[in-house]
Amino acid sequence: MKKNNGELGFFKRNSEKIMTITIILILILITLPIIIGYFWLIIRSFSEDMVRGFVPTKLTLKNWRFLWSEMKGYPNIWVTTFNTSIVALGVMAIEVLITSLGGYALSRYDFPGRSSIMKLILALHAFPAISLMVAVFYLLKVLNLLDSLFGIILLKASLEIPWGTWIMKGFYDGVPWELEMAGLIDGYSRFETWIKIVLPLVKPGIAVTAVFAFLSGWSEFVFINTFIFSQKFWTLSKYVKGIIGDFRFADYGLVTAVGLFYMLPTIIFFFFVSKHMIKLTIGGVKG
Amino acid sequence: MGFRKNFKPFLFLSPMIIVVFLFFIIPVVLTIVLAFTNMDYSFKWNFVGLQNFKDIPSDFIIPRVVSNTFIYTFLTLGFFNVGMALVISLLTTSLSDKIGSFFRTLWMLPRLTPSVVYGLLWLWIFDPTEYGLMNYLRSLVSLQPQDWLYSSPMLIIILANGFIGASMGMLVFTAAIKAIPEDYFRAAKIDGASWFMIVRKITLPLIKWHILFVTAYQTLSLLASFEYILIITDGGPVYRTEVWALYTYHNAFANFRFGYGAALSVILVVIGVVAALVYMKFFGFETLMAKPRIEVD
Amino acid sequence: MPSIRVKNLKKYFGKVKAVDGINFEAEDGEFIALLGPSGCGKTTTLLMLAGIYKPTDGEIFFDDKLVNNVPPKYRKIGMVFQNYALYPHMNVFENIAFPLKTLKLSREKIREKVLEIANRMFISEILERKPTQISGGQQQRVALARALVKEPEILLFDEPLSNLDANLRMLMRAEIKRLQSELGITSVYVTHDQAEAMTMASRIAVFNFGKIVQYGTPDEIYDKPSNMFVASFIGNPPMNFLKGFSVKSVNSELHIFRDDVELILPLKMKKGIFESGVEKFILGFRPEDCEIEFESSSNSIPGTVYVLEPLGRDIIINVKIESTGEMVKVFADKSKIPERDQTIHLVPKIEKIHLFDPESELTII
Ligand SMILES: Nc1ncnc2c1ncn2[C@@H]1O[C@H](COP(=O)(O)OP(=O)(O)OP(=O)(O)O)[C@@H](O)[C@H]1O
Ligand SMILES: [Mg+2]
Repeated sequence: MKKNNGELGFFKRNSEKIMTITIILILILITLPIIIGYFWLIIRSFSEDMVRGFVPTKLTLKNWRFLWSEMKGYPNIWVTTFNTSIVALGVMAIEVLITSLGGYALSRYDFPGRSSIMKLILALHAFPAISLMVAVFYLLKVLNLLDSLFGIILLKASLEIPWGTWIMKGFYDGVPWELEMAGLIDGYSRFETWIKIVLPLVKPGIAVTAVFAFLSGWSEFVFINTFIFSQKFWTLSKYVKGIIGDFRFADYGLVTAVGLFYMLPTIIFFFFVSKHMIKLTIGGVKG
Repeated sequence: MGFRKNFKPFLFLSPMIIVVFLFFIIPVVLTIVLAFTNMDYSFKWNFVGLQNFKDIPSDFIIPRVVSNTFIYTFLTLGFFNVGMALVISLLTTSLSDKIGSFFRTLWMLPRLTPSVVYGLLWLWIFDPTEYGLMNYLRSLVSLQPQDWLYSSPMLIIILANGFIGASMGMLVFTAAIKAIPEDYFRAAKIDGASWFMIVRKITLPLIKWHILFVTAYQTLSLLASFEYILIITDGGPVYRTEVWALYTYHNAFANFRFGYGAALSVILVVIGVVAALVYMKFFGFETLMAKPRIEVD
Repeated sequence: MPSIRVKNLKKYFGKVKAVDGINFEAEDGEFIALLGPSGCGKTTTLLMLAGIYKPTDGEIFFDDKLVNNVPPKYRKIGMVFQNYALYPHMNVFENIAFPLKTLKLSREKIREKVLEIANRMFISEILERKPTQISGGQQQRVALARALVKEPEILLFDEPLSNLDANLRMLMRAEIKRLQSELGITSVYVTHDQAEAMTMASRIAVFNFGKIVQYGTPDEIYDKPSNMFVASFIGNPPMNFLKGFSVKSVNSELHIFRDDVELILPLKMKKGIFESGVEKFILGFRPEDCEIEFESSSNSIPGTVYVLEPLGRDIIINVKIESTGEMVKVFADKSKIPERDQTIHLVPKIEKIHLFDPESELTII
C-alpha cells in the first residue's frame, strides 16, 4: 500500500512539473517578440554593428553621439528633452490636482447629480476621444493653443481626467469614514480635514495617477505630431520619429540609441515598481 | 437644498467639469456641426448641408477603408485583445504567482513604451533587408529577404496593435480568474478533471461577462485607434492599411479637408456615444454608488 | 459642562428609519449609556450629537442652545470610536496633539498638554510610535487621550471597548468610569454590552429599531423593564418567559394559572391586572428569582433538568418544562444541585414575577 502511494505521488509530482514547464514554454514562445524586440533595442544601441542584424560585434558609445553633438536638421536633444519633461510634468500636475479634487467630491459628498456625473465618467471612459481630433484642432485654434506645449498639456490631461477622477474616487473610498469624522470632531473644517488627513492617506493613489500621467505625457505622439509645428516645441516623440524615418536603413545604432534614451523613464518605472506593477496598472490602463 | 448647500462639492468638481465640457462635450457638438461645412485651411464656416455625407459613398477609397477597418478590428480583437489576453491570463494564473506576474509584467511593457519606440521594434522585426529579424530567420534557411511591409502590411499592424491590446484584457481576465474561489478548482482536480476541462467547464463560464465587457470595450477603442498604424505604415502601401480613423485623420490633417474629416468622424462619434450609453445601462451601478456618510459642508 | 437634551430626534436614510423620534436628556456631568442590539440606531444618534449627521427632524440642545446646525468643530466634543480611528500617518504624539493644533497654542504648551494626558493614560513610553506599532489596548488609550486632550465639555463613546479582550475590557471599563467622574464631563456611551451599560452609566436608554424603549437608571431597567424586549435584553442569562397564563379570583385570592401550574399572586397586583383588560398573560421571572424544590408543592412548576452550566461561583440549571417544552434557566445553590434528567419543581418568587401582554409585549406588572 505504502509503496503504491509513493509511486502515485511521484507520478503526480512529475506530471505537474511537466505541465508547469509546458506552460512556461508556451508563454515564452508567445512573449518572444517582446523579449527579442527589447533585447535587440538595448544591445544594438551599444554595439558597432551586428552580424546579420542580430549578433553584436563590438561595444561602442558612438550611437549615443546625438547626446553631445547636434544632429543636422534636428533641434538640440536637450531642448527637446526639456520640452518633453515640461509636457510630462505639466500633464502630471494638472491631472493630479484635478483628479484629487474631483475624486474627493465624488467619494465623500452627497449632492444632486452625483450619480449622473459618475455615470458620465464611466461613459466617457468607454468613449474613444481620439475620434474628436478634428474638432479639437479647431478648438485649439480658437483658444490660440495650436503650436503650444500648454495646449498639448491641457488637452492630454483633460482627456485622462475623467478616468483619473474615477481611480482617485476608488482610493478615497478606501479611507475609513471614522478617520474623517475624527478630524471634524478634533476641530477642523471639512477642507482642513481633507488636506491634513484624507490626502496623506490617498498618497498611493496620487502616486499611481502621477506615474501614469507622467508616462502618458512623456510618450505623447499624435497630438505633438498634429498640433505642434515649430521645431523649438518638439518633444522626443517627434524627434525619435524623425530619426527613425531618416536613419532606419542607414544606422540602426543611432535609431536604437535615440529610442532607448526616449524610453528611459519607462524603464526606470519598470524596474522600480515592477513588483507592484500589475496592481497599479489596473488603475492606469485605458484600452 | 439649493446652490449654497451644494456649493462645496461643486467647487471640488468644477475643474473636472470644465475640462470635460471643454474637451469632450464641445468637441462632440463641434464635430457634428463641422460635418456640415466644407471647412479647409482657411477656416471659413461654409455650410454645405449634407454634401459631405453624400460624398462618402462616392469616395472610391471608402470601400477599401471599410474592409480594412473590419479586418483590422476583428482580427486584432479576436486573436489578441480577447484571444491572446485569455491565453495569457489562463496560462499565467495556472503558474505560481511570481512567475505568472513576471510574464504579465512583460506584456505590460509595450503599452508603457512610447509609441514611436514601440513602432520601431516592429519596423526592425519586419525590416526589408537582412538586418531585420524575420529576414534574418529566412536567411538561415537560405531564403531571399522579403519586403514585409509591402507583402503583408495588414499582418504587421495587427501584430503591433495586438501585442499592446492584449494587456487590458489580460488584466481584467486575470483579476476575474483570481477572484474565483479556489475551492472550485480543487473540487474539479479531485474529480480528476484535466486542465482543459477545468478551463472549459469552470473558468470560462465564470468569466463570460468579463469577456463580453472586454470585447465590447475593445471593439470601440480599436475602431477609433490609428496611432500605431500612423507610425508603422501610415496607411500604406497605397491605402492597404488605411482604416476609418486614420482616413479621417489624413483627410483633416494631411489634406486639410476639415469638413469632410469631421463628417467621417461623426460616424465614429455616434458609434462611441451610443455604445457608451449602452454600457452605462448594463454596468452594475448600485454598488458603486454608495451614499457618503458625512453631512458636514 | 453642558447638559444634553434630545427632542423627537429622527434620522432617515431614504426608507431606512435609523432613528425614529427619540427623546432623552443627560444632566451636566452625567454619564449615560445608549444600549441596544446591532443596527438599532445608536451610532446614528451619536453622530447626530457630534454634528456629523444632520437630523431629519427633531432638536438637540446643549444646555439651552439648539445645536442642530452647529458644525462639529464648534461643539466642544471629544469622541472615541469603536476602531479608535487613529490617524495612521501620524505617530502617537502627533495624534494626540492634532486637536490642539486648532487652538492658538505655543509648541511648548502643546507638548506640555500632550505629555500630561499621555502620562495620565500610561502611554508616555510609546509617543514616537505609529498606531500600527502598538497594541489594541494602547490604541484605545491613545484614542481616549486624543478625545480628552482638548478638555471637551461632552464626551461621546461608540462601543470603545468592543475590540478588546475580556480582561482588558473590565480594566478599561473601570478606568473610563473613574476618569469620567473625576473630570465630570457629560458623557454619552454607546454599547451593545449590557454589563458595560449597567456598571458605568447612571442612566441607560435602551434602543430597539430606532426607538428608545426605556430610559432609566440601571436598577429601574433591571427591576421594572417596560416591555419584554428590555426584560430579555437586560440580565444575563435573560429573564425566563412562560406563555399562556390566565387569571382568576378564588376566595378573594388572586390566582394565575395554566394547565401545569397555579400560582397565588399578591393582592396588590390585582388593580394593574384588571385595569389592563388583558386576558392571556406571559409570566416572566429572572433566573435568580426562583427556588428549586425536589418535592412538588401547590405553587411549583414541574420540569426536568436538561443541562447544568457551572460558572464557578454559581451554577445555571437549564430546566425543560415537560408539558410545554419551554426552557427555563435558573441559578441554583451549590448545596442543592440536581442531576441531569432529574425531575424538579420550580418555585418563582412571587413578589418578583412580571406579567406581560402577549399582544403588545408591554409590561403589565
Ligand atoms: N449612512 C447610512 N446610510 C444608510 N443607512 C445607514 C447609514 N448609517 C446607518 N444606516 C442604517 O441605519 C440603521 C442604524 O445604524 P447604526 O449604525 O446607527 O446602528 P448601531 O445601533 O450603531 O449598530 P451597531 O451596534 O451594529 O453599530 C442600520 O439599519 C443601518 O444599516
Ligand atoms: Mg454602531
